[in-house]
Amino acid sequence: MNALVKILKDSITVARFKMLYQFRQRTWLVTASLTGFFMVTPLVLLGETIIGSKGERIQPFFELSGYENYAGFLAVPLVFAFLTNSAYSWIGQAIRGEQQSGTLERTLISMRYPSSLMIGGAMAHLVFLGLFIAIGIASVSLVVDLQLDVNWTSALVVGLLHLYAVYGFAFVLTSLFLWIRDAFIVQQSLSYFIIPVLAGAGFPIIIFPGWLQAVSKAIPFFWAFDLERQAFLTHTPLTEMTTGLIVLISISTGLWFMGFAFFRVTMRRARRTGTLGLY
Amino acid sequence: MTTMSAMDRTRSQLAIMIHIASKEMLIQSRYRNKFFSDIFSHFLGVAPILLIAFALSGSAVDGSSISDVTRERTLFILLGYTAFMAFGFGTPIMLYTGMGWGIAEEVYTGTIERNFLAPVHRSLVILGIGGYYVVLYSFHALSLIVVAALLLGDSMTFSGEGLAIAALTVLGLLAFSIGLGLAASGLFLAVKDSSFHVLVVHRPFLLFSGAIFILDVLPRPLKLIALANPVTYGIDAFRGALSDTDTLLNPWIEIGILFAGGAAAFVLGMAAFNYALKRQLRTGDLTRF
Repeated sequence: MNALVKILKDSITVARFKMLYQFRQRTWLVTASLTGFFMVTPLVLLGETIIGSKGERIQPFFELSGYENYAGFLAVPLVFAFLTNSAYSWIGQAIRGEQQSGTLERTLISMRYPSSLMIGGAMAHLVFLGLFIAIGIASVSLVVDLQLDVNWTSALVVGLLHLYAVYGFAFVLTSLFLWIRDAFIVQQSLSYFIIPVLAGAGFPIIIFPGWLQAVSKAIPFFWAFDLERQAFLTHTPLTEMTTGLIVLISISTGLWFMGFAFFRVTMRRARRTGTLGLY
Repeated sequence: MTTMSAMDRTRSQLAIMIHIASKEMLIQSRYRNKFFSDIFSHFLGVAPILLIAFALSGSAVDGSSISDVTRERTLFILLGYTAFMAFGFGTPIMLYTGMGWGIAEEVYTGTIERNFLAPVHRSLVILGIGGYYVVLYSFHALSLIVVAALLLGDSMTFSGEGLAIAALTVLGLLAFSIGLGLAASGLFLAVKDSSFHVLVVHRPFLLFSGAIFILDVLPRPLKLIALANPVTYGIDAFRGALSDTDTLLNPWIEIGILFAGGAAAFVLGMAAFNYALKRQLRTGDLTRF
């Protein structure tokens, strides 16, 4: 209990300073606010190019996915996918940045629990993220009719669970970044391409062969994207999402445990070998 | 005392740029994950676009059951994306590593002012690094054309004139990309936020060029912006040259617009970069990160 309080105190301190720092980066606030619009709108317009502006070629897609609203089908998970990605750079790359500048070892000395550095980062990130997701969905709606039919309770719960999965995965990646030298590109490839593709952020995974569908279902974000579509597009209540919710929580919790375990191992290794402050 | 002729000077500057480009490749190849990603990332970039197109057509992952209309549109999207790759912004990280972020790294590590002591003009260093990426993007564009030919080859057209237009548009798009890269470097020096020029330079071009969608689906005000963008015409000419797609204007006029835009971007980019650099060298802001 005492340890938990100490972790929380350290994390709040990190979060405060992190927020203070980010508020000074005004251009970053502008960039992040407009990311959803500029990254997702072209993909939704691609959808319109294929389907037709009056939806004249929707039938094959409807048969595949069960959705007629292809714009919402694409936009909602893609906004979540692209914006939550910032968690990986926010947490993982911040630690790598300190390692490169030689301040990581010093920073960690001032903390009782090194994981506070990541938890604090996640707390500060969370403050901005809700805002960016809301702006992302609203700005895409200005160009394309997303036909949202939101169940707000489901949307809130699913959104938070998505973040639970994201931060779990971010912790795993952070641990790996302590020993992968060119971590940035690994993170970018995983978070912008490999994970969204395998988890079906922009399409139903039924188009994959069977073995790849099994891989997709082991990724928590597949479940998160599916539940987000239900919550934002078909007004589905939580009671009708039980299976998806249980699977999402289970896999995400596994990721958190894996993240902490990896972090302990890689941190100890880095301390022992001296790579913590010697990039 | 003998002085160098203009010819000798150009030759010497070219040699410096080639030297820097080869050094950049050596440096990049030491970061194995990044190097691997640099070479193959365009396949990763095109994968979600193709998969979305296939799924919306009701087809499986191999695109085997798409209809004729969607087949034609998928080729339209694939060729547009290929031209966008040639523009150099499909994979912005690579470009910025050499241009804007390259300077950021030097500012961080405190070596930037030292490097200015080198008896080579800064623009040559950046152009040399850019040269490495020109080769890389040419490879991206070529390999994506091969992918398009393998997947949808029977809908493509290969004529002498078409190939010449496609090659010219790639060249024009690359020139435009380098000009904007220089402007991005200047912008970075001014705002000192590496994420800002991603927003200002890269992302709007994907939306306002119709690279992966037909322009008619854009609302009118946004369509007007797209029509004022020279990159739109470059992508359109490239697409028209390798398929039967109707182009917005005569392809040679489109190429003219692209090259005029590219020249303007290059001159303005160089001016913006030099202005930002001189100002910050004078005020000392360059090293006060």
